[in-house]
Amino acid sequence: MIKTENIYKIFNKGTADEVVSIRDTSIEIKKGEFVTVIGTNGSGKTTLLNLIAGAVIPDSGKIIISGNDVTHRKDYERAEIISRVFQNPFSGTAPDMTIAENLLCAFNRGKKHLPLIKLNKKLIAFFKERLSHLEMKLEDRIDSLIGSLSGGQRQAITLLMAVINEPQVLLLDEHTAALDPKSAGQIIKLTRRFIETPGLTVMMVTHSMNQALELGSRIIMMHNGEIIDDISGPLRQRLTTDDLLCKFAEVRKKEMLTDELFRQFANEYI
Amino acid sequence: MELWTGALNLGLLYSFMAIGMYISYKVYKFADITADGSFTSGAAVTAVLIVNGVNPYFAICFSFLAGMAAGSLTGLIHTKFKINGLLAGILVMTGLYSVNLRIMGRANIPLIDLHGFLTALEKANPGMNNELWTALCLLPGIIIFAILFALFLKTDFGILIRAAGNNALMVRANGGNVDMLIIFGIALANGLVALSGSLVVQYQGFADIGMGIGSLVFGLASVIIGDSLIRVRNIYLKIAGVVLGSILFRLLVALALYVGLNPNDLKLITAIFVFITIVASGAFSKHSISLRHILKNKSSVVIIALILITAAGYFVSKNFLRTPASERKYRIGIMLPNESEIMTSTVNGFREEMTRLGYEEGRDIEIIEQNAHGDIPTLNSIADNLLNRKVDIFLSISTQSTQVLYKKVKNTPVLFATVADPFTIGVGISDTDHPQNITGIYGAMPVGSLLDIVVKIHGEKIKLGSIWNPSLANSDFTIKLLEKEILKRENITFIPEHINSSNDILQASQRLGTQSIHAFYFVNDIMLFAGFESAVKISRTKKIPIYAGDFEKLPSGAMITIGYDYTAVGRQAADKIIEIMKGKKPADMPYEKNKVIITGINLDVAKELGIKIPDEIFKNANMIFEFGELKIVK
Repeated sequence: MIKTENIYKIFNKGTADEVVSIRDTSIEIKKGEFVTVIGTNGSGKTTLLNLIAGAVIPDSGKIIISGNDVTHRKDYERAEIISRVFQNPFSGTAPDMTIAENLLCAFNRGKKHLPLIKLNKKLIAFFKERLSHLEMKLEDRIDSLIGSLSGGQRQAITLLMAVINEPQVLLLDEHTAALDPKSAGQIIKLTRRFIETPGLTVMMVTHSMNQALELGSRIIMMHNGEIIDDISGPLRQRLTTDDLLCKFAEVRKKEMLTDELFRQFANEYI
Repeated sequence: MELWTGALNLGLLYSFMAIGMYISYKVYKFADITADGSFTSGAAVTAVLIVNGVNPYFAICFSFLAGMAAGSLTGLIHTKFKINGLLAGILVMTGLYSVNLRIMGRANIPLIDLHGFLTALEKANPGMNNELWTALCLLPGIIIFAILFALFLKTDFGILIRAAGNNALMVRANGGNVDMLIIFGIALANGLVALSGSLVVQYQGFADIGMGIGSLVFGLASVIIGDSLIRVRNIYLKIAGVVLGSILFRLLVALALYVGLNPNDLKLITAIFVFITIVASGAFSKHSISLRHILKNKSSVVIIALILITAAGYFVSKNFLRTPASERKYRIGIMLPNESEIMTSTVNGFREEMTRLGYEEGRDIEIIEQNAHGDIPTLNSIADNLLNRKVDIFLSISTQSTQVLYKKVKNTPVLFATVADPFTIGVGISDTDHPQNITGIYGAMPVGSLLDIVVKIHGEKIKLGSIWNPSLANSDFTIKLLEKEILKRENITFIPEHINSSNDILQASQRLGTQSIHAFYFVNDIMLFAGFESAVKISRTKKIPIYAGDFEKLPSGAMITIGYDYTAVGRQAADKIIEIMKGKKPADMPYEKNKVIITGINLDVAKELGIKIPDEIFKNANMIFEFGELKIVK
């Protein structure tokens, strides 16, 4: 489904701030797989997701989705197949427009946005039915402005928008990181429900090892712009947080990190 | 009545521009100053097409397309080259100025007697007041357009356009090409602005290169007034509010003129008004979402302010400005487009001569003088206002004033003065064959006599350099005359230099100075005279004398001036007006030429530059400037 071949991404190339964000990374994700991506800050996990989404174009290497080379296609050209949920709950929705209008934009994803009025009673009924799955009573507020909703509610709507017209790939970029624990729990519950669509390929970046273990069928661990571990199959099912911590300890040895830094990582990831 | 219906019509015609500004300001959240240029583009395209016999409805469509082209350029610069929207707008607006001048070929194109879309409407008039009839015809058209536009914003594409202005990332994630959407939106906005320009040209009967200046602020004022009046989310009401804002804004301008405010202060008042409205809407907007709140918040503040201003204006005008009917004096309305010297000299000469002949202002006659200070649409409002004040005669100073009055005034006498050539703007065919209610005094620069003098001083084979602003109708006209005259004389080479503002004069004169010209010739160009001193500097260092059209420039450093005495033109106008006051009909009064030509010589400059003035010229001079003193010889 998704294949990257030796991709490189360097930011601020040629300046003092040069950062190699992704280094010679090749990975293949099969249709229907749910991959969780973990790694330290600046390890390149969000960049990897952005490269697949098309928000960032690689300096070299190839990206192939559904057998098509999409390396140089812009994010909006890939939106027909790929949908995204961002870390910032305000990024995925337009605040000065109504819930219905936002849902319509997502409903039309991959189709032509024609100068015709598609937002009729029938479509609104369909939107209301989908909104009722969020269990936030938003179906009664379909004509409210998005800007009047809470961060959690907005993220729930973004999630709904991401799956409303059945994409082939769903990219979740730390989509609960900016929410309070209660909202984060709700969003994870909804994520679990929405990804049940057969054949949907999911990639989720997370900073929580619990989340990474709870969800998905494969874990990718990143460090310094490289994939340092890729665990799937029976091995993945037996994996525990302790195993993950050991992996980080290995990284520590390799990188000669101090104990203090290691503790910091451990805190950050459990 | 004329004043209010005239303002209503302008408001309706400008409402397309306001709807355009709604897209750029409210949807894309940037003040798109391209409007100042695209408004004129629409006007220019329409004027040129109609003059060439194209159907006015096609002309409107082409204007719309021209505006879209301008807008898409701004959009392209903004999105693809990542240049701030305001800066992109400024770049395109600046460039459009030259493009518009190229389209028009000159600074002013009259459309009098040519078929505009309003001509057909006027023919169908069942005998109503013409302005009122126009308003009645325009209103349904604009209502239908506003509804269609609101419907467009509700379509899938319309929703995506709005979303692109609201959250670009969300639109990208959902497959929308944000750059293209912004380019299209800005193009559409400017298309509508140009459409407005096209309609206004057909309404006022001429296109002028300066007519778009200030469009951005006027458009924003309309959008902001509309937005603060309509606080509901309903999109139909929002668009209706923008149209209403445009009408209210024009009514406010009319009101300001009606209560006797100086049109010069109008722009300051507009700026303050827009500022207060923006601040007020910020303070109240949190509480004002639903319909039932309408009367509780800032819309009521704006409404109350409008009512108060209207009431105050009405009270003031009833009690202080109006003379009781029994004591009504002969009322003269003077209309000027800007404050250039030749225009104010004309008015001064007129006023002095009236007093000298025993017609004292306030005792025997009443004079209402209004100056548009360079803002062409204001001329329309001034004309409406003077009509409303029931002036007995118009004294129309300049070509633009005369164009406006020719279109608007059919029964009241109009006397024009300081017009270069009334026939090129379609006001009459010959001195005796002209509109029933119009007569006047005209004359272009005596360029022939000027060249005679230049040749006598510098010999037959000479190079003459000139600087002028091609966007000023009078300057352009005079230079064209000069070029024609030069073509008749084989040995004179003409070297032209264009300027766009008084800041360009120094450079332009320096360039001319390097081309070994024998003399500078400066027409009566308001912009040029603002920076005359910088040209004098070059004249001194390069030893090239300046010939100018106005003797007032003699003490400042011109060597020879030759031109009409515009105070004398004013005196001629006074004689004519007195004849009309005594019962003569303008129809029976042939046009007259400007009478007095003044030749002035600055001997100090001639000595400094080492130039010998031939006796023949010296003998004919009316004014001599010597040892720092100006003497009138004859």
